Amino acid sequence: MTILKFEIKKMLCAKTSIAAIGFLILLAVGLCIGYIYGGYYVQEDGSKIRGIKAAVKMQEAKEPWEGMVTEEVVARVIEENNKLHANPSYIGTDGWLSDEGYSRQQGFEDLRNLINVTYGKSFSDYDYYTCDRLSPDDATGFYDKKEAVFDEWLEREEVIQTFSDEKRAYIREHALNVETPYYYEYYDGWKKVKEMNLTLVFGTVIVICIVLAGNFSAECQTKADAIYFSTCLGKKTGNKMKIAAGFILATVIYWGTMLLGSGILLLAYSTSGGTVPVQLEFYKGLYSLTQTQAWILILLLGYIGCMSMSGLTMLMSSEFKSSFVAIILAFLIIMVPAIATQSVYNSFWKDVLSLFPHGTIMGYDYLTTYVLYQFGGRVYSPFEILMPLHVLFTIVTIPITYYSFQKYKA
Amino acid sequence: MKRRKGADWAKKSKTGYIVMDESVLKPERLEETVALSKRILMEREKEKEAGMLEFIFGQMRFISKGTWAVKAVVFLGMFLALYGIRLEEGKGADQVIAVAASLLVLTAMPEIWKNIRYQAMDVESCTRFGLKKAYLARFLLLGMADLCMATVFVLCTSRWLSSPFYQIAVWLLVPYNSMLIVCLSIMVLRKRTSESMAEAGGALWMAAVFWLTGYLHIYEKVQLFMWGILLAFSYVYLGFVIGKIVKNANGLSEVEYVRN
Amino acid sequence: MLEIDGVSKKFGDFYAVEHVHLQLEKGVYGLLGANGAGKTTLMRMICTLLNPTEGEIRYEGAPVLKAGEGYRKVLGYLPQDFGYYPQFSAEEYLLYIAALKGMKGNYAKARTRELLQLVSLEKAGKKKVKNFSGGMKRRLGIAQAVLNDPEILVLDEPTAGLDPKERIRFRNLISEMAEERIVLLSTHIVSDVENIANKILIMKNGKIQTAGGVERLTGELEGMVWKCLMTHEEAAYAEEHYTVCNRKKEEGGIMLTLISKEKPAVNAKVVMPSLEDVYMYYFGEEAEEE
Repeated sequence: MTILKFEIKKMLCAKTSIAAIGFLILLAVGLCIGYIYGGYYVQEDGSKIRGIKAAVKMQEAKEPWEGMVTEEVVARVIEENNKLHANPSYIGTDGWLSDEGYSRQQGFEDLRNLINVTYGKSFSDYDYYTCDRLSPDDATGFYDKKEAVFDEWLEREEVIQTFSDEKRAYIREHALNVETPYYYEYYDGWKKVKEMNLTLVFGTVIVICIVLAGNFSAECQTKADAIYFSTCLGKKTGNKMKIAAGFILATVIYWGTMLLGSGILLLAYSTSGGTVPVQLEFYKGLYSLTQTQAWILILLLGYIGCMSMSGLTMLMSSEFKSSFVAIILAFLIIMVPAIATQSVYNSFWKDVLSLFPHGTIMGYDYLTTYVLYQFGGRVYSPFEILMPLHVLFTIVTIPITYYSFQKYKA
Repeated sequence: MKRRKGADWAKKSKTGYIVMDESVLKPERLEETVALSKRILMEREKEKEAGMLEFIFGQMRFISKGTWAVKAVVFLGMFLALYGIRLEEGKGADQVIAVAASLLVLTAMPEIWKNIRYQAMDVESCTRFGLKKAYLARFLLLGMADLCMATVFVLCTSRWLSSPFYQIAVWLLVPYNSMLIVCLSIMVLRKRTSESMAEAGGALWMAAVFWLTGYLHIYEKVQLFMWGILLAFSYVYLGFVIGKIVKNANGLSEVEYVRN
Repeated sequence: MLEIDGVSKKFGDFYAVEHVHLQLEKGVYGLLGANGAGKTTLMRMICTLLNPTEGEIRYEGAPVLKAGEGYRKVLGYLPQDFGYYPQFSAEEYLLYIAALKGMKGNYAKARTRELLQLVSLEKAGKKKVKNFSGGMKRRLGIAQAVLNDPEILVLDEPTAGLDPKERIRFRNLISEMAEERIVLLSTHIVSDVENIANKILIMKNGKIQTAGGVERLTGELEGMVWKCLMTHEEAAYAEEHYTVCNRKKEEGGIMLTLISKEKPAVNAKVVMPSLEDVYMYYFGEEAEEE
C-alpha cells in the first residue's frame, strides 16, 4: 500500500500532471459556464435573460406541460401554437413570430419539436414550421405515424444499400420499441449534461494519457531505474503497483471530472426530467432509455474507453521508455481513426474504425445515429460491442505492460 | 631542376629526371620531413576559420536523422490522407492538415530541447559561435525544411481539393503557428520550465486543434481575412519569442531545469 | 593575463562568490574547496555562463562579456556535469564541438584524430557515447575542452571517474599543456594539483581564503602538524578537540595525524605538512559537519 501511495504521488506531483489536471478542471468549469450562459429565456417583453435565472424561468414555463404526452396533449400543443401564430400582436414585421410571441412558445417548445419531427414529410425531413400547418385534429394517431415513416424509409434504395436486412430489422424493432405515451418533464439539465459529456470525456481521456505517460518512462528518464530494479520489491510488486496506481488515478480523474461537470450543470438546471425517454429528444433513436439511463451509459462507455486508453498509454510508456512518444502515439490512436471515419464511406471500414478507442468517446452520438455491428447474422449496438471489447483490451494490456517493464535492463 | 655544382647525391637519368642517390635518403629524415610538413599544414589550417554557412550546415549534424524521417512521414501521411479524402470526396481535410501541422512542430521540439535535456549547453556556450547562433541555426534549418515541404504541399493540395491556395495555406499555417507559439512560449518561461511541460502543452493544444477543426468547424466560423490578420500577429509574436529564446540562450545555465 | 576584479555572484541574498580578486597568468592554478565553496560558480563566470553580480572579468585588458566570440575562441571548458549527446559517436561529438568552435573541416578532422589518440579513445572513436564507461566519457570531455587549443583552459573536477593510471596521464598532459596557457583546475583530489599546480587557490564560502604555491601553503602549517600514537580514549578526545587529518590503527594504539598550534600529546612528533593537511586545516570543521 505504501508503494501504491508513492506511485500515485509520483504521477500527481509531476508539474505536467498538475498543469494537465488544472486544465481539465478549467475545461469542465468553462464548459459548464458556457452551457449555463449559452441557454437563454425570452421574457414576456421580448428581452432575453441568461444563466441560472433563465434556467429557473424556463423550468417554470415548461412545468404546465409536464405529464404523459397523450394525443389530447398533442392537440392542445397544436392549438396553443396556432393561437399564438394567429395573434397579430405576436407576429413581427418580418412575418415571423416576434420575441414576445416566442416567450409564450418556449414553454411547449420541446413538444413542438416532437410534433415537427413526427409530422415531417419523410424520415429525413425536418421543418421547424410543420406544427404551424397542423390542426388539433391531426393529433389523432400521433404515435402510429412513427411506424409508417420508418417503414417508408427502410424500403428506400440507399438505405437497403447501406444497411443489411438484419440491420434494417434491428432498426425497425428498436426504434419502434418505445413505451407510449411518452412521459414529459423539464429535462434541459440532462440534455445539456449529455451534450457536454462528449467534449468533457474527450478532454479527460487526453489529460489522463498525459498524466499516465510518465508512469513507467519517468523511472528511466530520471535514471532512477537502476535503484528501482535493484530493490527487493521493485520488479514485481513495484510494477504491479504502478499499473494499479495508473488505473486508480485514471478512475479518480475521470469520475471526478464527470461528476464535477455534470454536478454543476444539474445544479444549475435541476435534476428533473431524469425519467423522460431519450426518444422524446431523439425521435429516431434506437435506445429505449430514460435521460438518466442514457447519461449513465454514456459515462460508462467513456469510462471503459478511458481505462482502455490508460492501459494503452501505460503500455507505450513501459515499452518506449519515453513519455513524449507515449503521449503522441496515444493521441494519434484517438485522432487518426476519428478523422478517417469522417472521410471513409465504405461501411465496413467505417465500422472497423469506430472500434478504436475514439468510439468510446462518441456515446452521445450513438444515441442519434445508426452505428451498428453485425456478426454472424446478429446485430449489435455499439454499446454491446465497444464495452466488452475495450474491457478485454484493457485486461490484455496489463500483463504486456507488466512483463515489458519487468524485462527492461536498467 | 638545375644540378648544383658539387652535389653528388643527385644525377640525371636517361629520361631527364633527377634521381637522388639512395644512400642520401635516410628513412628517419623522410619521416621528419613528413611530420614537419604535416605540422605546418595543420598550423595553416588552424588559422582558417569556419564561416557562418559552414556552421549552419554543421548544425545539420545536431538534428537527428529520426526527426527528418518523422517529418517526411508526417508529410507523406498528410498527402496520402488528403488523396484518400479526394478519392472518397469525403470531408475532414482541414482536420487532417491541422493534426499533421501540429505534429510537424511537436516532433521537432525534442531537437530544440536536446541540449537542455542532456545538459550540454555549458559546453556549447563556451564555443566561438556560442548557443545563440546555435539556436538560430537550428530554428533556421528546421523552419526552412518545413517551409520547403509546406510550399510543395500547399501547391499540390490546392489543386487536388480544388480549393484556393490561400485557404490551404490558412489550414496549414494556423495550427502550425499556434503550436509553435504554445511550445516556444513554455520554453521561454524563465523559472522552472521543463521539456515535459512543453510537450504536454503542445499535445493538449494538438487535441484542442483537433476538436476545434473537426467538431466546432472553427474555419467556417471565422472569415478568411481574419485568419490572415491573426497569422500576421502570430509571426510578430513568434519573432519576439524566438528572439527571446536566442537572447536568453547564454543565461540557460542560470535557470533550473527540472524533468517534470 | 586573466583578471578577476572584485567579482561576486549573488543568488537572492546568498553570495555564492564574494569579492574575488585574482590575476592569472600562464601556468596551472588549482582551485581547492569543499562542496558549495563557490568553485563551480566562479568557473562558470570565467566561462561567461553566468553574469557576475558585481565586478568584472578581463582577458588581455578587455572585459570578457564584451569580447564575446573573441574570448570564447581562446576558451576551453570541461564542466563538472559533462553533458553529451548519447547518439553521437566520440568522433561525431568532437566534430560537432569543433564546428561550434569554428574550426574548419579538415583541421577539425585532423585534430579530432589527434585528440582521440591522446586520450586513448582512438579505438572507441566510432562507438556511441552512450555506451562509454564513466572514465571514457570524462576523457572525451577533456578532449573537447582542448579541441581548439585554447589559451584558457577551465577544468571542473576533470579527474572524477578516472582510475589512478589515467589520473597520472591526465596530470602529465595538463602539465605539458600549461607551459603555453592558463589552466584553472578545480578538484577535491589534492594529489591532482599538488604535483602540477604552480599556485593553489583555496576557496571557502565564496571567498579566496588563501593563495600560493604548495611550499608557501604548507609552510604556513609548519610546526602545526603532529603525529602521535594514542589509546582509544585519547584518540576519541583528540578527535573532538583537534582537526584530525589521518587515523591509522597500529600495534600499540591509534596513530593520529592532527593539526594543532601546541603540542597535543607528550609523545607527539612534528611532521612535514602536506597539501592535504592544509585542506583539512581550512575545511576540517565542514568535513566533520558533513
